[in-house]
Amino acid sequence: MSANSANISASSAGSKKSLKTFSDDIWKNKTAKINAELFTLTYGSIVSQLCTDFERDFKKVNSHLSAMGYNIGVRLIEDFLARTALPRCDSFTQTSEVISKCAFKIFLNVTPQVGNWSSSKDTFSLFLDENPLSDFVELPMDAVKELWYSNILCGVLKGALEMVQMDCDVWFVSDVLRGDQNTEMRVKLNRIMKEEIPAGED
Amino acid sequence: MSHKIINPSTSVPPANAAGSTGYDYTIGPQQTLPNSSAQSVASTLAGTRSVYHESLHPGAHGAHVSVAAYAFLFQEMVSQARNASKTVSEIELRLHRHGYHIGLRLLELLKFRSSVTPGSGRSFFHKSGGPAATAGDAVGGAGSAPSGAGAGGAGSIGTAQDESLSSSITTMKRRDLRLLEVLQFVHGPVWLYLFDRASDDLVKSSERENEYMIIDNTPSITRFISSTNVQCDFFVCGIIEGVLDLASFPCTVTAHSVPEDKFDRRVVFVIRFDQEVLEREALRF
Repeated sequence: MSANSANISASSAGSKKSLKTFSDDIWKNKTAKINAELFTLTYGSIVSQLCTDFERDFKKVNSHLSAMGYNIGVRLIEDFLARTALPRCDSFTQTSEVISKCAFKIFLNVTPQVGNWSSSKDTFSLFLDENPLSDFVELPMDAVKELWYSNILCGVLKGALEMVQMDCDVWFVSDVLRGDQNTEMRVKLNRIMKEEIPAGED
Repeated sequence: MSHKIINPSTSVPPANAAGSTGYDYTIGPQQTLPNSSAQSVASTLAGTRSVYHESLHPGAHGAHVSVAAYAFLFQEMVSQARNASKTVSEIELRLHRHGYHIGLRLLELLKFRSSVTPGSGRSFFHKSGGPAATAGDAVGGAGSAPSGAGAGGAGSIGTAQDESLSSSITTMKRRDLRLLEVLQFVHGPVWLYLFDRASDDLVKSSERENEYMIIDNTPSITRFISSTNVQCDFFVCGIIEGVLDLASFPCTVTAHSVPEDKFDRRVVFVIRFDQEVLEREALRF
């Protein structure tokens, strides 16, 4: 166990490149894969069903997507840690690297760019050049201003980060589906939560 | 047998498309085809990036995501369906409906892609590095066209602007008209597309004339679902039914879990065609 984590921390502390190689290896050799378009189409069908269910109230759809993502996130982190066996991050900067180069890579096979750090180093942006959720998608006129199509990702990140004691806010700033230049997600660290023992356990 | 390509007609001139983005469902489909050489449309697309530019190309298929990511999404879809329903059959109906809409699209997509002459217009499709590059691609990106024109037998249109998917299609693939053909299509290409393998068997029922069965020994997308109370494979039923319905073979599809020695998750998809399908089968040819 200690040898393993030492090995990992050596590789992740070494350089950005090694984290990339590390995740590439997991993606290539240790991940079962499925057609990305089936994924896209399934997500599309979920979103359109939600739009119908909420009678095109896109604010509700946004928050519901985020809630769905949260449910995924709190479980997904387990899967992520089991696959990667990465140690705790030393800094929020490192967290951002792990999210973009490792987490996005091994689940969705994309690597968003990290950037746009705030001066206090607690907020950064993820620029999604490719987004497997939104291929094939054109937003209807009435949704273009209100719907954050890929909002589920915000929930996933929030849920997953919360499970590793980081209370974060995650939201979309822009989306190519809305006609923006790029797709940008913003992640803001509110506080590091204290490790708490669940109620009823000594 | 071959057919000429018929472009979707446009009843509304795309005049108002210039200042707007998105699909206006009150107006209906408008022409934003990959071959739209009309300058106005092209410039609109340049800013936003049309969904048709890359995703329709056969080369676009091949990307993968992890099964884990899909399983998480699928699980959320099921629980969403569960929360919105009162009975088990309602959950299954909802899953079915999800799949049905995918099936409708799949038939079009797969037939379209298989019509593209292999090798042609390859250069048209390439993953672009960043958003800036993408925007450039839509207008000038066809600049890398010459190699594509050389490679393709069909796509021999010289000017870079005309380099598009439709120029590499000479004839659309014939749709399946016989019952067995369309079933083979589901059993083969559709399954191959969805799950990277053909389904395990395609059988005709010995009891009923209109009944066929597609058998999957190891269903991929429900492999992490242990409960047997709700048959989550109804999602796949929906896909099958969508494909067959759009191909004008109206039917109902149900999923049944039928474990066998080695495959305890084996699922049989029973396809019951409407009577009219059989009558038509008997009439023609």
